[in-house]
Amino acid sequence: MTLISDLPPELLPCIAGHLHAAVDVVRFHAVCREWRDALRYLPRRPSFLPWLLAPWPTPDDDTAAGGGACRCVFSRTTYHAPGLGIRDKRVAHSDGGASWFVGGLFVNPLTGRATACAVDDPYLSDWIDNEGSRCIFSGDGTLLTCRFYDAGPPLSIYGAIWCPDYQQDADSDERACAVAYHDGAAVCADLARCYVHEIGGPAAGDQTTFLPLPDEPGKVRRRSYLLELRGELLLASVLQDAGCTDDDDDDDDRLSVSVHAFDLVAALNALDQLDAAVDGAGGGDPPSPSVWEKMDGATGDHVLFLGYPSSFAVEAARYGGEVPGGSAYFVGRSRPCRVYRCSFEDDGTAATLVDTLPAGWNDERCMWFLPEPDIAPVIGVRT
Amino acid sequence: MASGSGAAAAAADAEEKESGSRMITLTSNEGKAFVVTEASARQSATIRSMVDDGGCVDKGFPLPNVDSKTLARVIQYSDEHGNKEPHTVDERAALAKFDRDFIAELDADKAFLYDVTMAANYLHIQGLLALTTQCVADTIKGKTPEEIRTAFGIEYDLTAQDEKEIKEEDTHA
Repeated sequence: MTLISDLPPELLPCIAGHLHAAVDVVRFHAVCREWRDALRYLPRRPSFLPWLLAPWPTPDDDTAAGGGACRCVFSRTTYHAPGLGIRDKRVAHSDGGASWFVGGLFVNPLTGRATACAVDDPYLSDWIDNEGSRCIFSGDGTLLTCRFYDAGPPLSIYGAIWCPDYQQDADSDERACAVAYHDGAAVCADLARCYVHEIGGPAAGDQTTFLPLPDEPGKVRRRSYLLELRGELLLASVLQDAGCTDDDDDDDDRLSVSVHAFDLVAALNALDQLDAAVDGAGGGDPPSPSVWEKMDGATGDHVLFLGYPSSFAVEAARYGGEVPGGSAYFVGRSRPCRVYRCSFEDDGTAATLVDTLPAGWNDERCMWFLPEPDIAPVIGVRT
Repeated sequence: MASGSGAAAAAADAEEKESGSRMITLTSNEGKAFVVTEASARQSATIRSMVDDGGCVDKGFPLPNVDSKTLARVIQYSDEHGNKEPHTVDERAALAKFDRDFIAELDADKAFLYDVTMAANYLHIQGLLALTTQCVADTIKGKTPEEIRTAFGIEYDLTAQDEKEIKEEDTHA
């Protein structure tokens, strides 16, 4: 008969390799010397499941003064990032990372580690400091900032694209619900339309044309999310069966998610034609160009984390089966908020309740991010 | 079956193709013999390399670190994964179900789970090792370090310096 404490030390990394909630890895690491040492020999860094970062300190929480609240919905643990969160200065990174923008630096919400921002512009801080600004940092060093005017849904947007050496106001006064920077353009989507603004494109205020979002027969689009996957821009729509009301009710079982790929080049061509048509005779419904391609099956090996201000996709295999591929996680509107998972492979599957967030998490604008906790001794990547 | 010449290599290849039907004897540390197909035995990288190195296939392989009960269970896994290759979606689903049922039974008997884990490690059966270590990891999930120590009878041996580092790592509410 064997006990776990008799297992040879070389098996401990195998066991730890199956842990994907950051809290479980941290705890594994605090059991005894042998287990602490085991993490030095992981073949690669553990892949941590994402956490949710609340928009601002949750008011009902005693420890709110401690800083920004993070939640791991998989292990149902809550964590407070020390010293951050007085105001919403979250910056979402399109690769799933997260930071707080403090004093011109991107600060890791867990470790406090700071990296410099390549954009050197005194007005940038004003943008990020402004409560309600969405900030998305893209892989190529571009920062997209925008703000929605709360004029009742759908919302109005004003934004700016910040490249390290270029800056121009983006779509001004347009309506949108989701926003992403993709391939030199800011793309916004509300519940029915999408807007594209190219860097160096027409002046902000002049843009009046838009493209319709793909039709979802028998369903109502409740929320739009934009994210990048394998260099493509995707639209993920949270849908509800027609006939349901979108109040604070929790009509969970009528929710579903669909995914479409967005062809930016085709969209820009279509928009040019639309602009020409508007300048000319005009009239008539806008054409429905094939800029959207339904691709629910093609993303089956990924899991989508749909959040605010931006969303991202992760290969499901990284988590060893802990989260199912072909599914999307999103935060539903209720008090407190609930986190759901929907499969977008089998159309019409009921949404699964993953976690009811703790009291005080009443704002659904939570941001998913991949935690990178400091676990000492430093986890060695064996060479 | 050392491949000294092309002809010998060809013969070895032919034998390789026959390997599915060749039988191999594995002997537990209690002296009990288990006769399995070569395909099943090849699930174990340890046995695979012994066979490929021209080991004593006919005399069988003594496994001094594995008892009969554990070996029987390991063979159950190897037979399922070695003797048939899943091609269709249904076959893959059936194999996944076999794995789930297999591990659910082991999970109910932790001491046996660790024995099978040790055997999978010793015999280098990667699939089985991944399955059993996943099961051990699942029992750790959600437990505090204290709970893990209690559950697994692990002695507390951390130094003051360790504790200081851990405090910095783990500021969870």
